[in-house]
Amino acid sequence: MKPFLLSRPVLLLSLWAARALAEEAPAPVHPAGIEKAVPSGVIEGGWGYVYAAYTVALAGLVFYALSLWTRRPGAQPPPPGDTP
Amino acid sequence: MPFWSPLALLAVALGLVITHFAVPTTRAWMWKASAVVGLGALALLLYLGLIWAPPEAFMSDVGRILYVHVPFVWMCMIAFTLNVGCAIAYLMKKSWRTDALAESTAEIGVMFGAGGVLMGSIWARPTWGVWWDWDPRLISTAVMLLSYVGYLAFRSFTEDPERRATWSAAASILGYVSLPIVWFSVRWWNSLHQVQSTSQSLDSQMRIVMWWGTVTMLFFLFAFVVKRYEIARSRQSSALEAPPEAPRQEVAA
Amino acid sequence: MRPVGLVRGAWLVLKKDWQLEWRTRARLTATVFFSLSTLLLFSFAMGPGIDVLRAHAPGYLWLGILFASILSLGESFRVEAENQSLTGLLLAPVDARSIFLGKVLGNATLLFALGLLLLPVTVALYDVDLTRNPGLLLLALGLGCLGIAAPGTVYSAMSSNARARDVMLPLLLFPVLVPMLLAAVSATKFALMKDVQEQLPSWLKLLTAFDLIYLSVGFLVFPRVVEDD
Repeated sequence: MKPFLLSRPVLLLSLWAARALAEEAPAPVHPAGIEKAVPSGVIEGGWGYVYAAYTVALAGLVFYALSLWTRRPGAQPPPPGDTP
Repeated sequence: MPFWSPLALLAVALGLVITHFAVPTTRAWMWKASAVVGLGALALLLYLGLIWAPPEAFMSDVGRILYVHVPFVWMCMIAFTLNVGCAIAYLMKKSWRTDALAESTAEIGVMFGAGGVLMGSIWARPTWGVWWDWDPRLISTAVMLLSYVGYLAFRSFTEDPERRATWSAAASILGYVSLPIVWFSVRWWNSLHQVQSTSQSLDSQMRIVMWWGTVTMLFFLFAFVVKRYEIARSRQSSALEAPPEAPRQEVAA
Repeated sequence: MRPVGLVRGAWLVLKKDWQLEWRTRARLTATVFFSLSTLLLFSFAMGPGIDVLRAHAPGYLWLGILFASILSLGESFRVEAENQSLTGLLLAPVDARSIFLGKVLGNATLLFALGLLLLPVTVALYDVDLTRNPGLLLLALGLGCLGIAAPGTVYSAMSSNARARDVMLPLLLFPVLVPMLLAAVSATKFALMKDVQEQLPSWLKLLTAFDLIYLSVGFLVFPRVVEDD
């Protein structure tokens, strides 16, 4: 079988070209007034957001583990039309 | 965090996966140990992140979101990198095992990525005042996520297992390549937050929690990859009766 | 039979595609009318304010081309799949990579022609000024069309054989094209309007980098994609 990537430096060359171009990038332009959206100073409170985020994290882990459990090899075959 | 830390994490994840496949005696227990340790570490993470760590200087308590958000996004990127590694390996040498590993890492990456983007959005609301923004990190993660959702859909819509393996490997490479380009283009388009990683400004206590969270999620990542891989293998064997080690092409050669 | 060289093979495939297209002109006609109605719908959706329309004209133009590209890319491999003619091409002593190059160029020229036809329409609908920097405008158009065609050819070769192929192609292609769209829209915008900070060259460079990267990745991957057919 032909070596897939190593014998062909095309990819590396174009990546190098992209990097060289990227280094030449102009300074980014700030649209006027976009910083206004960022509140200054210390943010007060916000525990609701914290709990929401931790719930998302835990729910993601738990539900994914559950989905792995229900799809485990040797389990009852899923109903037709059930795609991963 | 130092610039090499993503690479170090990737190396650890790769080492765990390779050990699992290369050393047969570890197959039975290592993922279980990983899951148990991960559960314990998760409990401690909740304590460390919600109670032990002090409020951040500017973000106050909202900064605590980062202790779960950043590890999720990192795990997403590690999973996608493993996936594209499998894709390249598959195109070089066809094997059902790499295809199954690619399937599992893509799905897990999408899970972590979706959670990470959701948490990032929740974090952005009180911090930036908006749910969504033209931040290069945000957009590139979202684009990655979209292209891997497309990848998974493509997999489920292609019936022939051999074509599915080859084509999804190609799709994975094409999608992954876009990551640096998206990054640069969004940075030029509009750079709202030039400060690269928020974690550089963290004090040592917060850094500990962030690392703790990352290691915790790494344990989960490994356990998930092992279990999802087993599912993918069993589906292959039911689709192919008795799956040969390599697709037809190899056998004929 | 003597194997055909890479460039010559690509040229032959390109010529075949052009001939096929020229005979019926069905694909171009369909995509032209599709994108025309897209542009018209954009102007209806945004209301009659000509300033808003003019400011967003590059975005509408590229979205029109992008949506039309889904049609034309899908068609480009559907004709090959119909009579197993892709198998015939692969059995001919032509490198699969030259099929890729020829197909990319064929798709890119079709999209470029579409873009050329749409430019006057943008003048009529959105009142843009094409004369400010026509050379670079055409360059941006060409690079952008190449940027759609390069990954699009690989994806359409794959999805033309999958189930639900009409859904699969945009699902796979659109995320990858996000940077291309950003760069093409910006380059077109600065070619049409005042470019205070001289940003046009850097966007053109980004487009070039995108094209180079996807051409080379497609060049490497495409033979593997079609070899099983």
